[in-house]
Order: sequence, then structure tokens, then C-alpha cells
Amino acid sequence: MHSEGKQIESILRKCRKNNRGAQKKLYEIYYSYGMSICLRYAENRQDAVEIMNDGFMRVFQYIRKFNLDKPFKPWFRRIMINCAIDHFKKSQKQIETTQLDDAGTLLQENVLEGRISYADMISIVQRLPDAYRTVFNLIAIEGYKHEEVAAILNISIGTSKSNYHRARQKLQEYLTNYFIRDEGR
Amino acid sequence: MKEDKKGLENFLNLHLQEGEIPFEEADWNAMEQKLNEFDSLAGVKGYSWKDYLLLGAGALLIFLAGWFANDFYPGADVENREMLTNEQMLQDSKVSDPENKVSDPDHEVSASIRVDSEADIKSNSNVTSSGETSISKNDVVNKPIADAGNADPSGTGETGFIAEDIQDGNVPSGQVSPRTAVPAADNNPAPQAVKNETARKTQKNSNADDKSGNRLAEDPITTQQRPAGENQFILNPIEYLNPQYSAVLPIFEIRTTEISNIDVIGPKRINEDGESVPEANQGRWSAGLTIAPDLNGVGPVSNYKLAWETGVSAYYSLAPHWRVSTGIFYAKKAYLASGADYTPPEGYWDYNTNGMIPDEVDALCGILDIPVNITYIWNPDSKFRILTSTGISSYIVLNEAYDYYFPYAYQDYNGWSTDENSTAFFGMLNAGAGVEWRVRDGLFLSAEPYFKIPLKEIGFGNVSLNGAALFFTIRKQFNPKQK
Repeated sequence: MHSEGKQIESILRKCRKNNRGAQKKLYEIYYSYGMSICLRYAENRQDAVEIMNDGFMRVFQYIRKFNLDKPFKPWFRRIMINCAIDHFKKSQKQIETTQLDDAGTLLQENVLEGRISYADMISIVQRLPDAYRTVFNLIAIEGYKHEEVAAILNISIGTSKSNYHRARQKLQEYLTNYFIRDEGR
Repeated sequence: MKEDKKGLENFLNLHLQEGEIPFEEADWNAMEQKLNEFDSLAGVKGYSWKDYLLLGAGALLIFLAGWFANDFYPGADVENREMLTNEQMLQDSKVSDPENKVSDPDHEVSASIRVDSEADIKSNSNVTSSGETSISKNDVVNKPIADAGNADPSGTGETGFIAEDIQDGNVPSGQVSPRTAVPAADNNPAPQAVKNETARKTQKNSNADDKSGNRLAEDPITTQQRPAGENQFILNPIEYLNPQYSAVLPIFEIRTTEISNIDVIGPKRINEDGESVPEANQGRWSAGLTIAPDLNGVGPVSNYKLAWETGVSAYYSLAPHWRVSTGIFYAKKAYLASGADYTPPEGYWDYNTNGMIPDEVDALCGILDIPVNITYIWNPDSKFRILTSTGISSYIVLNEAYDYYFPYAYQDYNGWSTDENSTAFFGMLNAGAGVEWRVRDGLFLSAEPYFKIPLKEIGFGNVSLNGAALFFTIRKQFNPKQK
């Protein structure tokens, strides 16, 4: 672990000097992690790669600012999420505002006990509309509060709550359908 | 309901953890393309200490090469005096000390020769062939030619040319042509310059073989200096008639002379008082130490702040009016820039301040300035000279510190600093004018206001940094002539 940290530090130092080989090495190491973040926010793989590459671009630009005494991964994650948010802002000028309504469909018990692959889970999340998906990711996965999401995405708190609620409904629906279909095979 | 919600979040978190996504080379290619585009737009590249070391070693190598070249080809002092024509030099030599000695054996030769003894060696076999002579190529070009008729067979000097041919008996006993005989010096030191063409022609002919295979005089270029006062041979081009072909062919006549009496006609100069000063190996190289108050800023003059710059320079005089210089200067450049003028990479403000741009940026940067300048000296003969200079500077930004001032209190982010390096090659245009005072031979003081006009944006904030400085320099000329 210690040697791994030293290796990353050495790579980061070289990245500071714009060493293209080190940049590629860092890209390879954090490719999977970066993609796993970006895929959750993107509509498809192509968009995810675009977001991730924007994120790596910022990493390389601001690498001189990064304190090498601190862990790199959280910083990297934050940049990826910020890039995903920027991507969302660019592509979605107007967030769809929906009214908060009843919780709707309840999840069937067996759904939460079912097994689902990472790829299928990602594809289900990606089926959500951009506005729902972004809010859901920020709240459910990243742990932001509605007030924070409202500030970040420049929307009202009510809209944030509404979009989150809608996202949950949709996900329940998709997951239920997924497992029903799976059982039917 | 709440438990159901929690259950869904947990389920998603569980299944949305980092998946094993295989690396795709195509994605890196897209990334690399972005990086290349960014690098080409930014035009700024980070360099390691090895790069600087290499740069320094290269500069040192060039400097040393110039130094040794200067020693090997001793140049005239172009700093203090004007060059004179050959004729003026000859005239100078008449009025100067008649006891002038050879001061630079590699470079300077006699204007007049006092012949102590003369040897006509047309058919003389007493001459040795040890291969040495006191006459260089320049000697042949500039010295007067002594009389061919006053032979002195007692000469015992050494020479490397024609003597062996003569000893071998290869030289036929042709008649000396009176047409080519040069009037004798007859112990008269009055100089008599010989045209270069004549000398070249004579030398060229002297290298030729005659049609009977007789080898004539060798090229007398490779020569060595004799101790002063010793009798030496000198050469006189004469002609003889080849009895076989009835052709007039040139050979050299060897004479002895005392080398200590040879006058000097190096590239003499005069000082500002019109005095002729014999030239020695005065250097074209000089080195200077500079300190300068340095004003820098971006935008309006009110943004300019004062700091200091100091460094060393090396100078090389190309001609009396021209010199080039380079050096290395360390500067602490302080300046204010508006938020609009300070342009960090795209997304910087979005990332750090949610897009809020500061009203003002207060910067302090440590910079290495490596200029290459050319200077024109308007009045090189004067003790107080007027200089104008121009050139180009490369900046190596060693460290940067920025304070941001936002429209209202913004606690989260108020600046940053780094000691990472960036470089802007040929990023600044230099222009200046000033005065230089020659304190004494080889020592100069100068004051030179300078303006630095940005050609490239520098630093993390990509600012177009204007600058003005007043350079105070003390300059020492290497190997100056002592009056």
C-alpha cells in the first residue's frame, strides 16, 4: 500500500512536469474508477468517456495545485463529479420541473434481494432522464443534501426533491421489470 | 416507506460500486489529442532541473569556446578605439617610436627592416636547411623588400625553403633579372609597403616547379619567431633566367635581418585624443554585474509594482559600434492584475469559486530572465557613450504566489502559490537606451532604462506582463590593453 502510494506520488510528480508517459500511466490506473463515476452520470458510454477525459484534463491542468501529502483518489473523484455536473449543465439548460407526488410504486421485496450485474445496473441508471439521474446520483450515491444539490445545479430545493423522487420511482420500475423479466427466463 | 427508501439506496450503492472496466486505448488516444491541443495553445511547458542544467552547460560551453577562440585569434580592441587603414598605420609607425619591437608574434609584423647583413644566395650552397625562418605570411605581405644585389655569404641563419634545393644544386645558375630587383634598404629604416597582390603572386610563383623539375621556393607561411636580436633570413622575390627555356622565373632571395628592429604594424588604433596606440591582444569579451529596480504590471500603470532584479551578463564586441550580450537575471516580479486580465486555465474559477472571478489578483513571481541583446554604441570613442539596445528574453517562472480579492468576502478560496516551473521561451521583447562611462581601460559603469514588452503570456494566470527597469551595470573587459 505504501509502495503504491509512492508510485502514485512519483507519477503525479512527473505529471506536474507534463510528462506524457506519466499522464498515460495515471490515466490507465484511474481509468476504471473514473469511468465508474462518469457512467452513472452519463446517458451512454460515449458521454461517459467525454466527461472522464474532461476530468482528466482538469487533473493534469491543476496537478500543480494538488497537495501530494493528501490522498489523490478523493480529489480525483471530486473533479470527475464536478465535470459530470458541468456536462449536465451544458447539455440540460432547463431542468425539468416536476411536482412532488406520492411515493408511487413500492418495491417488491424480492427485488432488493436479487442479483444484478454492474453493467446492467449502470444501463438501468442511464435510462433515467438526465435531470433525474444527476440529482439521484448526487443525493443517493454522493451523499449531498437537497440544499446543496439545489445550489450546485442552480435549481430550487423543491425541484431537487421532486427530481429525486421521480428518479426513485423510475428506478423501482426499471428494477422490478428487470427482475420480473429475469424470473421469466 | 423510509426503510424502503433506504433499501433502494443501499441496493444501488452496493451495485454501483466501482466496476472492473477494462482500459480502452482509443479513449487514451482521444485524451492525448486533447492534451496536445492544450499544450499547443498554452505554449508553456514545464521543465525539470535537468533541462536547466543542460541549458547552463550549453551556455558555458559556448562561452568557453568564444573565450578560447578569442585567445587563439587575438582580436583588436574594438571597445575603445577606431580602426585605422593600413596606410594610416604605416604613417603612424613612422612617427611612433623607432625602436618599436614586435609585441605580438602571431599577428603583427614590421613596417620597416634594418638590414644588418645580406646574403645573396642565388647560387650559394652555404645556407642550411633546418626549416625555420622568422618571417610569417603577414611579414611577406607588409615588409619592404631588400636589395637583391648586396650579398652576404656569411649569413648563418636557418631557413626551410629553397635552401635545400640550392644545396641540392637544383637551382640553375641563371641570371638575376634586373627588372625585378628591388632597391636596397641600405640600412634605411624607412618603410616601404608592398601590395598584397604582389606578395601573393610572389608566393604563388614561389611554389611552382619549373619545367626542368627544379623545385622553387616553398610557401613561407609556416614560420616561427626568432629571439630578438638574432640575425634572421628574410626573403626577396627575384627572378632568374632559365637557360633551358629562356624563361624568366621567380625565386626567393634570402637575406638576414635583425628581428629586434622590425617595426610593428598591427591593427593600430587611436584613442580619443588622436594618439596612436600600438595594439595588443585586447579582448572583445567582457562581463557585467547588474542590479535594477524593476517595475511590472498588467493593464493600467496604477497596477504596476516595484521589485528588484539582479544578474550577470557576458558581452562580446562585434565591432566598435556593436556588441551582443546575454546573461541570467533573477527577478522578483510583483504586480497587480484585474480578474479579467488574469486568465488561468479554463474551468479554474468554476472549480474553485463556482465561477466567481476576483476583482483583483496580487501576484509575486520569482523569474529567471535570460536575455539575448544587441547594443549599438553611438560614440564608441567617448568616455561617456550613448547606447541603444534591443533583444529578446526567455522567462523561466520559478515560483508564483497569488492573492485573490473578491467583490465580497469569500472565505473558501483566496489564492494559492506554487514552486513549479514554467517557461516562456523568447517571451519578452527588450528595448532600452542609456549611457556608459569608461572609468578606466577595461572598466565601465552604465545606467540603462529598459522596457520589456510581452510577446507571450506567462505564468499560471497567463498574463501579459509589462515591465520597465533601470539597469545599473558594472562591466569588466577581459584582457584590456594597458596604456
